[in-house]
Amino acid sequence: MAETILSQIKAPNSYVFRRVLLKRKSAMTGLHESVWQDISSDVKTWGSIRREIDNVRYSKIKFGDVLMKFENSSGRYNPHEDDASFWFGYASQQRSLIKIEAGFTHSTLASDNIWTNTEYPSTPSVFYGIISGDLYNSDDNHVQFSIRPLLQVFRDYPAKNLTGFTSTGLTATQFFQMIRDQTDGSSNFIFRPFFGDTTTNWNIGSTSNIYANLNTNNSVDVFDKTVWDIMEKLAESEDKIIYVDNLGTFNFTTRDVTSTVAFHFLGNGFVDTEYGHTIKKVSKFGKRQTDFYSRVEVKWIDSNTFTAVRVKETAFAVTGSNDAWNLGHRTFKFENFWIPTITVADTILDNIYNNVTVLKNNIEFTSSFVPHIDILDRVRMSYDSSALNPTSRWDLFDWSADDTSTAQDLYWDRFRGDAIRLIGADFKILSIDLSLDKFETKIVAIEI
Amino acid sequence: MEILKANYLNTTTQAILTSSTDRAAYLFDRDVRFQYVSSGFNNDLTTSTIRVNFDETMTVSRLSLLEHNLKEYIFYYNGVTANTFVISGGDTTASSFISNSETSQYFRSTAILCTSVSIDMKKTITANKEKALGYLVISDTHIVLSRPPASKKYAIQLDPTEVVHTLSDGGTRIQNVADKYKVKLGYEYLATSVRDSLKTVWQLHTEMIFCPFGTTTSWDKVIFPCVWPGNFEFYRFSDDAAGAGFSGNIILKETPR
Repeated sequence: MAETILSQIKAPNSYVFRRVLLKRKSAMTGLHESVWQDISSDVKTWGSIRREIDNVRYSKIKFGDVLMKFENSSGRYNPHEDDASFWFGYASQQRSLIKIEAGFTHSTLASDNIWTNTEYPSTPSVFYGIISGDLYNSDDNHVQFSIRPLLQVFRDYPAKNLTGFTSTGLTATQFFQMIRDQTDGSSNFIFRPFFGDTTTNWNIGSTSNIYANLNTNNSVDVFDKTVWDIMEKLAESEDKIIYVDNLGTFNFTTRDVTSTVAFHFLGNGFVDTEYGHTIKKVSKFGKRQTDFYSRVEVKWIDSNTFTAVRVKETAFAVTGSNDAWNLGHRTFKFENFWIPTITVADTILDNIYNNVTVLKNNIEFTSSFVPHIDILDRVRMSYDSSALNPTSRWDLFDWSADDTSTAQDLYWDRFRGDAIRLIGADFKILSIDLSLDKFETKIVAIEI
Repeated sequence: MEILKANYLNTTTQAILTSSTDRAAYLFDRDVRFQYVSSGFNNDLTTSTIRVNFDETMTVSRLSLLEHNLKEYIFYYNGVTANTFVISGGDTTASSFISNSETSQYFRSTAILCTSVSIDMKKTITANKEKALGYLVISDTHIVLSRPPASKKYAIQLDPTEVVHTLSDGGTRIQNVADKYKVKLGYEYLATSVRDSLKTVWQLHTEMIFCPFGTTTSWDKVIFPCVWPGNFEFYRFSDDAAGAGFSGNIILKETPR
């Protein structure tokens, strides 16, 4: 049978791999070397990779650092000035490029005594980042690297130093293109080297709103900000998201979920020969009440006027069917003075309102190693904490014999509970936490 | 039962290859599933050569070829094909083979001082295939323990690094990262000279290679790069007489890739 990523994921016994690869910066040019250096054999603990969007709060991105511990008895991970250091002769360790790969290896031995090894997925990268932060040695001969997502490079550059503003302002798309093409004045790209040194790794969605204050680097909205501050504001005001995917591509795009099902997670109570059984534990399932708001305020001008604060709310009434009465008339406040027009403010208002006024099922679960999924992927869930239909009370065998119709029959259920019953329900992934030590994937997803 | 020096081949730049230069690292990767495989040499009339250069003159007395498919091949030193090794304890005395059928072999040779070792790979066991080699060791001995330990005191095992998942229905899924050898050798009644030799090896605190029963035919393929962690125990007397000899354990654990 032909092997695939799915057959590897569901295999009862398989080989997995994990690699951490490095590109140092040249001491002369400051550019990253062309060949990835494999430093996997020095890793003592791998840590976890976390990517998430809209998980803690709508449109907020949380930077998840990977904390990886390296064996350093030989001083290989000492600062670049040390001649034992792997960086000796290169520039600082900081902002060295890191790629983490993980997946499955399937090996077969042919009759000619030649092994064939195939990796799944074929592009196994799960994270791109940079070394950023304090690096301390200790007398137990290890050093812990803080590896931050590539978005960190935008935090580490002041917007005031950007060039390319136009007097009439910029659209968000134009701003992101300006960042992509930003140079140091000597034709050396500032951000592009971290994204494969190519324009193709920048997926910049199209927008048309013009931000008049993006007209000069001395603008009040620019001069004391980092590039990341501006990006985050633009994403909010365009109701888009920014993230770097597992292939190292920068994305400024809508938060639309993919239309095809990326993976079907199955657990207790289901059998599937394609995807197998991957759910280890469902730690949380249910409607996240704290994410429910019956009222949304979008403040888009810095004043307290009816025009400046756009409001959309559920009609309040003391009835059993009124969500605002039943759940509390709670307000979601959103403030962004970059929103260019009242029309855009109302569009964002509608989008947020539609998101927060519908109680949706959230699920947090742990699965065995599934390396190839990403945030915003559509995944299907099938899980039943008991084996029989939880709406029935009596055993079919005892009670159905005198009746050809089984619709009214009653079933005994297994006593261990019916807390969760999902049959092919589609969810959108908001957060992925991939433990490279445990080869385990923790996922937070919201029902579509 | 031999403890060897660390493999002389340990960087890709040492290996001069006629093809597949991107696979050079597999020559000294203990995981034999990852082989050096030639490219464009799937013809028994063509010769694929591996040359391993040393940056200083080295003593070579042990060579090991694991998971290969070579029928006709020759290995020699200093780039001269006439400089074959003199093999002892094997089925041939010269390191030149015409009709080999073994896929893993361990060679003991007369010690040679040299600056390179080359392997000319001419024909494959299954005719006209690419030439493959899973693990190449070029080394010399630290110590040869002339007698093996008692069987009860020879504990060798393959330790897997594995993740065991317990799924929601109670089922188990295992995902393996790597399998590593670990061996414990218990000796008694060792002579003072052997104890001192072992101490010299232990005090190096460096990587070494362990090969318990290397042969040129029907080899069990057990050879692995390792370290010796823990105590040096061989100051313990084996009996109530100081002249009885010394006892202790050697623990060797395989190194990472």
